[in-house]
Amino acid sequence: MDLTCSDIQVYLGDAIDRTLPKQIESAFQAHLRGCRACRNSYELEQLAKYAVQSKIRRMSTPPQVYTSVLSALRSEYALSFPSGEKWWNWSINRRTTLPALAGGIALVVFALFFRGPQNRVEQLTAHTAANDLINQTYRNFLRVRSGELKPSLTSCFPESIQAYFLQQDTRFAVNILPLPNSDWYGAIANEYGKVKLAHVVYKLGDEWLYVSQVHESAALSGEELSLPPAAKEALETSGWYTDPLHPECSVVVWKVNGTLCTAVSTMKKERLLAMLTTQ
Amino acid sequence: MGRSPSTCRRMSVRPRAGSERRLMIPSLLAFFSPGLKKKHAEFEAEALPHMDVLYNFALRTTGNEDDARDLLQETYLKAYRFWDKYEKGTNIRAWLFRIMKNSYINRYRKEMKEPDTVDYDEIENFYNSIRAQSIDTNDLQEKLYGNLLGDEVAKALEALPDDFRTVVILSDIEGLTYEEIAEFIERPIGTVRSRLHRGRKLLQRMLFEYAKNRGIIKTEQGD
Repeated sequence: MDLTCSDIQVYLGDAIDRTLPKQIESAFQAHLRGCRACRNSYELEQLAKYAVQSKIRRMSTPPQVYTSVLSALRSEYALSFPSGEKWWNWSINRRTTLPALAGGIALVVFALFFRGPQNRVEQLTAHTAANDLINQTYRNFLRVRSGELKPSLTSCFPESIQAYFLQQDTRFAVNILPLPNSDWYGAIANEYGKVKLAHVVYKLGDEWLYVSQVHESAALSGEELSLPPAAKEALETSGWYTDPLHPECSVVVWKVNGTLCTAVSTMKKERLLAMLTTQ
Repeated sequence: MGRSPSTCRRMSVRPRAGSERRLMIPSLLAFFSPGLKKKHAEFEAEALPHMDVLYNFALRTTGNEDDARDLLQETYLKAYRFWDKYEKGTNIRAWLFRIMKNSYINRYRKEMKEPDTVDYDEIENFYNSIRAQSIDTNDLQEKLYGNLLGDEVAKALEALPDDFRTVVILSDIEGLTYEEIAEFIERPIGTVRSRLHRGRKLLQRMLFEYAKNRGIIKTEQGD
């Protein structure tokens, strides 16, 4: 098969992008060997493609852009809900329910807060080991805040985060706190050795909350991960542990539904505990 | 070429009238509207994973981060508003891309002008002279564009006419096949081939000019 210079122009892109049909390839190459103009045309176009590929870096969406898109969507979602008047009419019929609910929550917060893990700070609390769960969570928290670590999924909805972890087959119940004031939720799943971990990030205005979760047995009796003895003892007796070693942030560890959760937050410890215990 | 995007009207996505009042209690409203919550979650699960592709396209098209962010935001808001029109199971990336492309055209409607006739003789003459001395393609690439900066290539790309730039970005940066690009721009594959060829040729000319102006390459006419 002989190809003309016009044919070459038609197939130039396919040749450069390696999608040239097999039956044409040899004729195409034969023509290039005998035609300097077509050969130049082919090589120059190839060089233009290489210049783009080698000089232009493909970027990830910057976290602040991601956040601004999510915020805009969140405002848009609000517009699609029933109007304020309708909601108010609905809620006014339950005017006795809501105060009762609020009172109940306050009571639970009060009770749980005051039976929390106190007087344990003098026990052995050091945890600098690389496989220490608190240590790891704290480091991840710092990386997320600085933007160095970006969640694999970010969403305004806890359901999206839950669905993400279901896909990851974490083999333990991942607890997502449905925090109404959260601007967005972030999700990361990873493995440390053979242990699966789930990490949930909450952005609440200026505050950050980072919660890493792991199967209870992997943290308390496994060999891959460790916890300070004081934490193990507190978790055994009360199910809760507050870490005293990070004065610049709050660290709380607790057990729920067979999962061990470690939270690090910019929030004050009292507020964090109150929030966690009401969920 | 058309106007520079930075001289065009900045995009701002404004909330709809009356939204301020209703935004005060969105979380509680959401709590009582599980159907809508499901819709929102479904939209996010489908649409948000494609943000990187869209952001890169927006960035390479508008040429600056602020406009790229605005274009991206507008795209997602429109996509959400028209989510009911999206046919489930079809190519969502192509659907989102078309929304972005239309938003871009509407916002930055450039005075479309046929590209200048390109005189390739100078490039070819220079190319012939360096080709004889070069060992392989990598050597040629280094001699021609090796010292160009990423910003210069990005500017050259940005200066391409919209239709050409779109296929060059989708092919050479995003690595899409001709079939996918055809679906994205809703044009036959032949059009994709032709635009890609013309786009790359224009790009060659621009990169050559950049390299010449920076003294990276010296032609006989001399600089």
